[in-house]
Amino acid sequence: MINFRAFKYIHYSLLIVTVLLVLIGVVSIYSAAYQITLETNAQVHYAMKQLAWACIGIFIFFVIIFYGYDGIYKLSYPLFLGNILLLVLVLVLGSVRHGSQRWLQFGGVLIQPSEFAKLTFVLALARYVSKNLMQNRSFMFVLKPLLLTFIPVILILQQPDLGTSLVFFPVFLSVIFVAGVNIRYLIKMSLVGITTMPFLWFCLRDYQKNRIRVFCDPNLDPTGLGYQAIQSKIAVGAGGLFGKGWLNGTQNQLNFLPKRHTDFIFSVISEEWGFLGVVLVLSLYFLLVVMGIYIASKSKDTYGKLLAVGISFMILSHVVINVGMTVGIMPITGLPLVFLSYGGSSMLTALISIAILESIWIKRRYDY
Amino acid sequence: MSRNHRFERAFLDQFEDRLRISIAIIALLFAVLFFVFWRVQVFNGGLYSDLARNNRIRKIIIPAPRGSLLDRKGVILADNRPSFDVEIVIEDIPRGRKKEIAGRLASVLNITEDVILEKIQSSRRVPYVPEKIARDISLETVTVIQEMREHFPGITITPVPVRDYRFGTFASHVIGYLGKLSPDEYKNLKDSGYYIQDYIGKMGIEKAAERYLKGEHGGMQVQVDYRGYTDKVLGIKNPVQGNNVYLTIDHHIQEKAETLMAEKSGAIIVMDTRNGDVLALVSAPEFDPNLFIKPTDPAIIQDIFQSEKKYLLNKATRELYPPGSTFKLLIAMAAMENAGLSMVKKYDCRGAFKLGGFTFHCWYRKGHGTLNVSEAIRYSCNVFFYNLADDLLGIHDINEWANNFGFGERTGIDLDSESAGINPSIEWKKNTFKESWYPGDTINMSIGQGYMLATPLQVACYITALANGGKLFKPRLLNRVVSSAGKDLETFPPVLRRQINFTDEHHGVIVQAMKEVVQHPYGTGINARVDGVEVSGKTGTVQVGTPANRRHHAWFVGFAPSDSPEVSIVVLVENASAGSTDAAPLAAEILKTYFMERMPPLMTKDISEND
Repeated sequence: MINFRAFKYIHYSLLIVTVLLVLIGVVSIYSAAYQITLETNAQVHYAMKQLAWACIGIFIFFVIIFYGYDGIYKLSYPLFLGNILLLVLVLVLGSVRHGSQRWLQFGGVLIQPSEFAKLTFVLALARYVSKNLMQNRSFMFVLKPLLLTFIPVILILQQPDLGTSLVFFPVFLSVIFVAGVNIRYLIKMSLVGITTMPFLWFCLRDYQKNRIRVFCDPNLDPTGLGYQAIQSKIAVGAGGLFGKGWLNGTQNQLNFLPKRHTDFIFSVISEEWGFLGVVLVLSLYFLLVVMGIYIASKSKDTYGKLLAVGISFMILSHVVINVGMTVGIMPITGLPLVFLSYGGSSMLTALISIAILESIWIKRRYDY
Repeated sequence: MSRNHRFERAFLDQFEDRLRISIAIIALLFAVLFFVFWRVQVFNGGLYSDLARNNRIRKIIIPAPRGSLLDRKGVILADNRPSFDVEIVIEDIPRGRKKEIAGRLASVLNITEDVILEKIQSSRRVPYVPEKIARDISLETVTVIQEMREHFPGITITPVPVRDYRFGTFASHVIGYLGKLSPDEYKNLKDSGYYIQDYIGKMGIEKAAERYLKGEHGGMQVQVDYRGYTDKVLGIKNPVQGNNVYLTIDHHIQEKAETLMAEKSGAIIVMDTRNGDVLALVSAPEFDPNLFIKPTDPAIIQDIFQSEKKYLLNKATRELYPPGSTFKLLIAMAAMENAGLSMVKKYDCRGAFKLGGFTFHCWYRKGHGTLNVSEAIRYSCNVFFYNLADDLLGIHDINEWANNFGFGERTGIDLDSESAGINPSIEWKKNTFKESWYPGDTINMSIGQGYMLATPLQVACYITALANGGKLFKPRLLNRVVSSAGKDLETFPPVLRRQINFTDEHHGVIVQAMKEVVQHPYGTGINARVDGVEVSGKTGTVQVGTPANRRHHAWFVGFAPSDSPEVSIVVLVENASAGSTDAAPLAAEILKTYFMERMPPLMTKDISEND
């Protein structure tokens, strides 16, 4: 039973900010992939593909809003379980690109289950925590969701994809934090985390260790591992206040920036649009995250509250880690920038997240 | 229900609190991001703009062709030829392919892979500056590499103008040689238009006339992409060719003198007595400056630098010799000017001279009998001069006149590292040896032995001044500088260091005696005679080394024609037996060449007159 009344209650600011970010992403990808398109004589421009993904995303966005909030609640666990199965499947028969195994092929389309896992994890987490809210002073309240977190994290680390797996922890922490966890447990857990860090070092693969070493000093290997970090920072700095203009960034157009239409899209924006562009984009993200928190505050039920906080922090983590990495305050991990980076799975995940935020907002006024 | 309700109230309060904390964390994180971007983009933006520019803009140096060196008549002694150099830009080699490319290049260049890898490893000094792997490769190798271009990313072949010394060893000590800038030189000169692998004159005229010869390097600014491939040329500055330098050296005379000194060691200087032009300056043995340009076996280079033969030492300007009997002319002049010696005064030579227990021998042990100053010069009698030193002259007189004729001071020739020699005095001996001056020292000085040391060039200036009536010239080697377009930029007029004052009468005695040395049937210099030209001169034979390891150097000094001198000559042959037999004949040959150069027109004139 499709009911268009739900539209009346959409949070339009949230939608507008989202659409703006997606459009900025398409325009930036056009510039970032300009030389690649010229060189490879590609028939379809990356920006066009990204736009197509955005359209699919918008379609799914409306489907979710029609489908409604209650359905999401019911599907939380099944979606998470399904996603976990996909992650296992990736490890078994996924296609290997750039040295890691992250993609599953469906027809002609490559999808990246780890992208969706971030979202389905938030669904499951929010559901579990909202169900067990009464025990929120007990230690089990921390431990069980933590174990839940480790399931996708460990699977994703096997791919390996350190960046994506790192996003799960801030999301987990934010959700149990606002759910009222005893702060002392959080502190203790952090202490345990810090003390096991040296141990974790040995679990890292060599290339991950080297990335962290080079993060501390990119000049250890300026033409190798440190290359991206150095070139990206140069691109950012060279942008200056006003930027070099669209299609005019030399770091971008002369190919100095690797992965510039995906993970390093923000370097391109920084170079070509300057500090003003950076302020604009970061402000949009800030608005987005803050609106997510606002929706959490206004939501009438705990599941919605926790889900909104989890999604907000998921977006926040992407922004901080990805944007931080382009200026060298974060190590380089293969993490896309939601809404902006080229990639279908990332785009769909981002738009679905916003759709869920919208349905939480709509639920407040309108019972499906 | 009410418990649940109460829990919910408490939960919601706490939730709102914790949301506020979350907002604070979010705001803080964004504030950090804003700050970091402000610092990198706005505060340090200029720095990164420069880095981005360095990333994409490279300056490629276009070396200026060095100016040519020519002899006085325009014969090219040194110019440039193209050398094909293999260069490598390390950053342009795709990652992980270094070894493969080095191996392939090694097999083409016929060197070992390790040499190339070593170069690659050690050249991290300036990113994107090409490093030379091999110099001056053959045209066949150039073709091979050009044909396999795709298999050599990061490798380029650059034609570079290199120095070509056309006649190899010819005038090597005058011309000198070029060498790569040392790290210290680069540090000092990088702001004066030198680049890191630039060449600079290290010796001789190449060094002395560096500023005329060098020219101005050009450059090309190109925008490159991340692989270092040229994207577009932003600007070109063409190099300015160096200026051509004409020397005073005469190709024919120099060549003759070198031929005569082949297999010998020593020095020859031929000078125009009227202006101090150096027509020939030979130091033997010579070296081939091309060896420093071409890829040369390091052992050969090391031999040039370290051999006992001192190939690089310019014996004409840097090595010191006792002037020996050639000094007697100066002693005679000093005795006439300062102590009233005249033609009437005679001394008796019995083959030896005794002074306080020491015996000083004449070279002619039987003795010359009684002779005056002219005869003493003619026969080179030692005893006569011992008597002068004992009887009429003090060390200060000899020192004064040696000083007048330029001994103990640099001649000022345009060559590096000239020696000043030693013009001894009482103070000099006290300062050097902490000893007082003994009468025996003066006796030794009177025949140009003992502490007296001079370069052959100083002797040449001294003889030139005797020939031209007392004009002590600075030896002129640089003639003029002409731009590559043929415009005269600078000429170097003769420089008179000073006019030495002596009376014509005394001067006449000496030049007459010098004429007799060669022209008199019993003169010591008869081997220096040249048909058709009257030569004047003086021989000398000096002893050097310890009695156990005694060696003799042969001198001949002279000028011609005797009555209207044009050219003076100094010949020094090391490890010979006597000046009259080893040096004088060489002088004759060289003077023949000198006068041959201008005789043919004279002779044809004579013939036409006879007709």
